[in-house]
Amino acid sequence: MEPAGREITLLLAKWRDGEKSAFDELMPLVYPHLREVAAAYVRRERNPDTLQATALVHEFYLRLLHQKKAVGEDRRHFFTFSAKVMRMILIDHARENLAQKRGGGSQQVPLNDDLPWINIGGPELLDLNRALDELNTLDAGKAQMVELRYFLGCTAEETASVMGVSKATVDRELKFIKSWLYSRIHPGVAKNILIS
Amino acid sequence: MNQSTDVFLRIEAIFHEALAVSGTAREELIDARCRGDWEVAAEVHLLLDACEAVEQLTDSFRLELPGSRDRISTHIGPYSLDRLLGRGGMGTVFLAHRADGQFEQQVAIKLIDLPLATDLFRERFRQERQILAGLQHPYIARLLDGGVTENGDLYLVMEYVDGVPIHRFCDEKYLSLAQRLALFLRVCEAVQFAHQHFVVHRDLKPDNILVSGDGTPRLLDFGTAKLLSPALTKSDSELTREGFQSFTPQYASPEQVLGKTITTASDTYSLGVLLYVLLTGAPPYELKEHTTAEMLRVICEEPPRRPHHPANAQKRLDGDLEAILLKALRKEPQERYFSADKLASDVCAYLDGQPVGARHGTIRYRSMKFMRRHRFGLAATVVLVGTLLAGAAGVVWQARVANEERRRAEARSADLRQLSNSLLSELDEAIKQLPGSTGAQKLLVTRVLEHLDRMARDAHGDRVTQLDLVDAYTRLGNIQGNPYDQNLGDPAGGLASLDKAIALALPLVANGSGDKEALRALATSQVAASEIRFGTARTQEAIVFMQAATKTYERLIASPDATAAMICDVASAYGTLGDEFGQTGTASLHDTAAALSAFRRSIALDDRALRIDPGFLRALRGLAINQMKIGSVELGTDPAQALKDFRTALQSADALPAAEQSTLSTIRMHSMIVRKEANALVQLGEYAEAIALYGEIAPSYKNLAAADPQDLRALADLEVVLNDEAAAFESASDPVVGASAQDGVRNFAAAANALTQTIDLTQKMLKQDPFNENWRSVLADAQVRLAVVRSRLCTAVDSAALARAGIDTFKDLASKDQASPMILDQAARALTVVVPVSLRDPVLAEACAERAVTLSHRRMPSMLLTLAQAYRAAGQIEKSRAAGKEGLALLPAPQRANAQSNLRKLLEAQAQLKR
Repeated sequence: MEPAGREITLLLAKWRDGEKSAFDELMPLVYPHLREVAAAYVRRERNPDTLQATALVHEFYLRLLHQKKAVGEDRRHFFTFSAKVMRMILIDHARENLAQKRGGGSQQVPLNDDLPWINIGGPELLDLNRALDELNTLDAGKAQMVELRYFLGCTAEETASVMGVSKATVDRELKFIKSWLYSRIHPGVAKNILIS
Repeated sequence: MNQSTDVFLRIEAIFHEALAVSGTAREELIDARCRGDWEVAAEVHLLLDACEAVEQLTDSFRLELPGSRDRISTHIGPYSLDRLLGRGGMGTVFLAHRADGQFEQQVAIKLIDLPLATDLFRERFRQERQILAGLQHPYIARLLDGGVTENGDLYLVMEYVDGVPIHRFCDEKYLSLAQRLALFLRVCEAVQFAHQHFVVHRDLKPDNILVSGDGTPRLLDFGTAKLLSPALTKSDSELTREGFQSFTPQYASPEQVLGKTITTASDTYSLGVLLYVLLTGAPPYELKEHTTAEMLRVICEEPPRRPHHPANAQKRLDGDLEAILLKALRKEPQERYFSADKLASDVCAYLDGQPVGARHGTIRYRSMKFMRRHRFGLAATVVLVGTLLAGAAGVVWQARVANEERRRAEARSADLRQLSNSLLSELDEAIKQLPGSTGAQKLLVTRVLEHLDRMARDAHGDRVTQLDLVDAYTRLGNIQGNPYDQNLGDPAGGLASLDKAIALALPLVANGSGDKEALRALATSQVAASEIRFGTARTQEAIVFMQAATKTYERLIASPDATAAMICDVASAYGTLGDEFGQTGTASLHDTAAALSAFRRSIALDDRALRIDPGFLRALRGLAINQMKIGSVELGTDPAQALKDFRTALQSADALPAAEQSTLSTIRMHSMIVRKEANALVQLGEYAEAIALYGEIAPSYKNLAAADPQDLRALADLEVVLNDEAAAFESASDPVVGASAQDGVRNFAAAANALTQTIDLTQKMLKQDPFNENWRSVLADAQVRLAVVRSRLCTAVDSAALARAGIDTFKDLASKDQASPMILDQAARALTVVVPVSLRDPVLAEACAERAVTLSHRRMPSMLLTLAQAYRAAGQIEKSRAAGKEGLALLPAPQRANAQSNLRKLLEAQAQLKR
């Protein structure tokens, strides 16, 4: 029983307008699919070509809306929404992972090649989650950018397109955001890091 | 720490600004921006440290990954990379050791971040590297090796120096003044040694002067800056080479900032800055904003700050040391110490208590130059170079971005779009602000071109990127040499770029593909390729390309959903095609029939656009312009028909919406059509009516020209009206064609008046653009005509001098191989009719007229008339008669006896000439 495309569009719009209940209504429609995407994420090798999370999300969205082409605002809303859900899924995964003390011997896989200091399922992911909550109160747009770029796995260009800014802006802001997050996650040890 | 959003955003802004600079400049910037708010400053420092840590982590993460093509390998040549040492302006530096066990030496490897390296550049890199490898001095870190990695990146292997930057060493070891000076002298020794081997450092700064634990200074990166400057050939001007130079603003000399020639004196200047920093603990200039304009202003204009004792701001530095610093920091290279050695001698003299050379003339220098603001060069130069430097910096930055992006296909297309939009507009702007081409502009073009070529090699199968490349090459080609745009005067370069655009676009539209974007991109580049060829008189080729463009366009608009704008683009291509076939006075083929057919197709397309959108302005204007162009072509042979055409064109112009009627471009277009209508009337002998029309439009032109005397276009417009009006009066007084010969004197006087004004205007125009050949020709023509008219009025005051000036100009213009048919025709006429008769030169006149006729493909009756008149003047009656007949044959049969054109009458006069 796939819901009608129009209904999802409506819920997305409500969610964007700040209606909390819309999020809860959307969640069950989206969650199972995004879990599959997240699972691929967690399993993935370091070759980024094996996972095209955004492609999966996009395809899933089209299926959900029974459309051939996703455009404009709806697509944007869907991506920001999915990014938020992906963040929840991956954080849940990390909590679970740490609770079971798993992953000790398994290979450490970074959340993103651009964030090699944060591993999927590692404790620093929970630190990142807290730092993102703080970032959200200071500049919600920046937190959203992190969700899109690093949790949903959008390319910088896709992130720019979803957020309606230039890619240069995304690159520039991410440089700052990464530094800020790092300083929050590793207070006091930012200095004198040398890798051998 | 909790932050409010305001503070957070402020911190972010400072963070980005600070990232753009390094070293002491960064510290200063943060201090200035934070204005004593230590919490903000601390946070910015923390974030900058974090940023560095994040980049190191990311770098080493990539380093760890073997095999992958887009990651840095752990081996470079025989060297094994150990760890990242840092990132410099030109690339990334690694600590490494030889992996083949030959030596146990540790080395520093600089992997150069220069994505634009060409083969030619690599070759020069190899040669220069050898020179530098020979630079052996105990205080200079040796360049050991260098080459190209498997991935095609350049690298340099240098002796690894384990030390700290010189200024930190001085502070950490609490060196005394004398100890600091002694250390500085050893630096001077190394610099002098290099200078004697013809190597200039170009980027001397504390970060490049490391002092090891035992107190030995070692200079890094000697000559690397030069090695990495992308001079393509030896013949490139110094400006070209230096314009691209990377440097550290705080230590850069004025000539470096201005992109002028860099000599050993530039290093001496940097040594002065270094000494200033070592002695006072602060740099000699304060860069408040890190913008190019600020950098230029401070470094090139401001005097250095009065040097103070580092420990005590109230205490002044010793007068001798101050004098030494000021001499080393002079703005003019020739006023500085002649060499590092001379600077060192003065420092030695100070240490020995001897008189210091720099003291000579110090008092006068201080009172006259130092205390008041010194202006280095012209402000205009500063602005000019500033614009170009900003452009060059943009290119470098872009190149760096590109290098990273090249490794990630994801963003390639966005990057390129950014390149074509921001870089080319930057370049475009720079050209518009600075007419005339300079080496630096050309260098920018070279950079962009290399970038595009690089992108093109990677773009296989990526349609979007290929389309972007087509657009970028086309825009670049137009900037390089399209005469219809403001351009760099490099048509050959422009055509080469356009060839690339076309080669990329053609496969995208192969097999009848209806890819609209690709068709549009291809057509745009074909149009540009044609326009440049037409501008360089390669008309046959120009027509081939324009015909190809129209074919491409026809495919584009074959579908019924073509928009009015799209159709107008096509109409405009046909309009230019018509010009190439038949525009008079240019390098066109003077093929009237083909031109008319192209203009008519253009009109048909305008009509189609208007059916889609009846108010579409471009189509409405297109109609009027095309009808006028038809008239202009027909005026050469059939003035009666041309008159009808011009009147149709006027109706179209009057049908433009009311709001459009008052715009400057519409007023100009309207006046131009009226003037041409009057020209047609003159040809038909309707002088009174024609002269009334000239009188109608002249005032509006006069107002425009008076409003802005610098507006060349307004002056040129007015000049053409007056010139045509004078010609009308001259014709009216000609016994062969004049309808009212009895008014001869009055007409001559009126012609003299109009010609005098024409001369005055043309001289004004030439003041602004002295080498414009068309205007020089117009001036000479008017001078000769005025001399002739005055002789008829028997008021030959100064006319001989006037006539001689005109004839001299024509002889000069005609001596040039590329003289246009219009200029040659005017020259021939002047040489035939000039008064005094002693100035006439029938042989040269004949030669000029023959060239004009040949260049206009024997299709211009007016030029055949000139030839016939020149033959007659030379006494060659038979030839004159033949030329007259040849001209007559080009004219349509007269329909009514009283509608004979002047041209026909004059040609008949020659054709029926009797001995």
